[in-house]
Amino acid sequence: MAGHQVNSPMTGQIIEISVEVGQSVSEGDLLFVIESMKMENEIFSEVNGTVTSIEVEEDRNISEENLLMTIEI
Amino acid sequence: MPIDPNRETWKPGMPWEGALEDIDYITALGQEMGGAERVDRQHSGGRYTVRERVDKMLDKGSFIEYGPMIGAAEYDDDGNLVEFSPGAYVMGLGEIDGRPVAIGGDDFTISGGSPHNVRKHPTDFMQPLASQYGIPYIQLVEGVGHSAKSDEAKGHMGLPDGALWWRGIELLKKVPVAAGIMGSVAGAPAAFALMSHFTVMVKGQSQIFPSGPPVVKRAIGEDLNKEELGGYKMHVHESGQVDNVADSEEEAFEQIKQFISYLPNTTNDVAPRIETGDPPDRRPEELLNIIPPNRKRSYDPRKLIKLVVDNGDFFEMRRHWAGALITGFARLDGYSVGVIGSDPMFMAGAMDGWAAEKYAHFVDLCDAFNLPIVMFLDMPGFMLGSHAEKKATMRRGVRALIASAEAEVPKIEFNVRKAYGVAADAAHSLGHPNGLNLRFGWPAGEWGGIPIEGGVAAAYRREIDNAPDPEAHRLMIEERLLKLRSPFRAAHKGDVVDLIDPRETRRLACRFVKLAQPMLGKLAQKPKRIVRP
Repeated sequence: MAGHQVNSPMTGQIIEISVEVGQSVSEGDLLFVIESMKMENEIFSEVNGTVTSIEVEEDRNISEENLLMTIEI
Repeated sequence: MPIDPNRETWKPGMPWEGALEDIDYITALGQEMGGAERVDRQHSGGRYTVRERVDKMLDKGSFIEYGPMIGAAEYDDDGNLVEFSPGAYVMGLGEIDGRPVAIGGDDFTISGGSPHNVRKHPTDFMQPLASQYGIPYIQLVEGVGHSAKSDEAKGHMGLPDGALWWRGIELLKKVPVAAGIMGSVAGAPAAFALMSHFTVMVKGQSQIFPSGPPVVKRAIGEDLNKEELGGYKMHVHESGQVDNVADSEEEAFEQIKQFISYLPNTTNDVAPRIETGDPPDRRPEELLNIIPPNRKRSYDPRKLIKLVVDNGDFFEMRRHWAGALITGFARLDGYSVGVIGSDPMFMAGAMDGWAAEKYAHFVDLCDAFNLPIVMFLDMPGFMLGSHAEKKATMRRGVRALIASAEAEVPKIEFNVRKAYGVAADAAHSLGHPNGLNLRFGWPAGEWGGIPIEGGVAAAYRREIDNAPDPEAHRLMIEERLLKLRSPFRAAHKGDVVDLIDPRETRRLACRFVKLAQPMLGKLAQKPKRIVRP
């Protein structure tokens, strides 16, 4: 069992968290929306698994490479 | 097929038939490469031998091998061959879809591809062949470079004089050079591989580094496996050292073939036109609504590009690195073009230091090979913030500007949405001072020195701060300026050739590329710079 870490690809603000802890996700599912450079940037899952932790909350400012979420594969 | 110790070898004065038999016999020994056991080991690692690789790259039966008999040969006192071990490199002339290429690769079944005491090297034949005949050069690299054992055998440690490199560097100026990184590659073979216009590695199978894990551990104590140190995640996704990744060796060969197919044989030629059967006046209906009305929302930029180009065939280079910028090759009305686009789904399409570097390199590549450039811009400007600063974004942005100014190939540009600031200017300025700067706007087009939101906050700061209701005052100014953002206002001033129906994009681009052909022929006659990898 490996924990897949989802890190933020960019600096910005979390405006939507689209999943919950315990939820199973598939590759391509929407995880977050990050507002950055005046755009709503959608962050999709790259793996299939179960969300085990969410490290941020909505409206929070995040930096590039910040840990957002862990998905158990 | 081990050597037959009782076989009588042909000698001068004997009938010719014997000589012909020996040609077949020794050639067959060479085909055995490092022997059955080593070949099995190559296969059980899921890898092809170099001979299988060459076969798969080339049109059937087109390979003319240089030096199949080059090897360590030992004769006894009677003149009979008693030992033969082939050189660890296979090379020659071949064809891909009827086009001649120089091709070669390391034989990893012999001393791990590390050169043994036989001189057989690409600089002996295939590099001069590619250079003098003006044909593409393909290297399939799988070797780990210098072996400390060879120092012991030679009895001294050599001081390199650099003579190894100049032919390969000359080639970069003259012909397309493509490399498949087929396994673990280190040292000099790694440098040869990267001395290319296009590189591809195989997922999970290929790694590239100056030195592998044991040397790294010894030198700095870092304990990483070879995949962590130099695999595709490191070099295709993170460092950008290698252009593309393939799921299999077959896919890597296919990518090399595709890359070559879009380029001319030399930097002094224009790429061949290929009949694609896609009508130049096709109107892709989906283009009309591809840009969402909400300007904060994204769309799939690759879908946009594929709707425009011939048959939707778009060969992307460096897909996984510096993702805000898209670079690749396609055809329009059968003519080869370089395509540059923005990806609003990655960092909003903003140019950071890496994207600027990707831009400059790709423009240089197109300029060297006389490929006209088609652009689809949706660029909000430079990426902002400390992470972008750490990538020397503005300095690299300046390099992008210079690449545009130095390039002489013609371009056509579609401003599909945003184009702000110096970053977009890098793209806008391609065409100056060497040619027409053909720019078209889509109705979603919006551009300027700085986007309204940030621009108002900065330029009207004092006025906003002093207003009774600063927030309302800021919004009021923004609204005033918003009206100016209409692309029609810029069109009235001639900033674009025209505002167009997005569905006209393909027709216009095809006409442009046809119009550009005589100019490309003239540019091809000029001496070219080296495209530095």
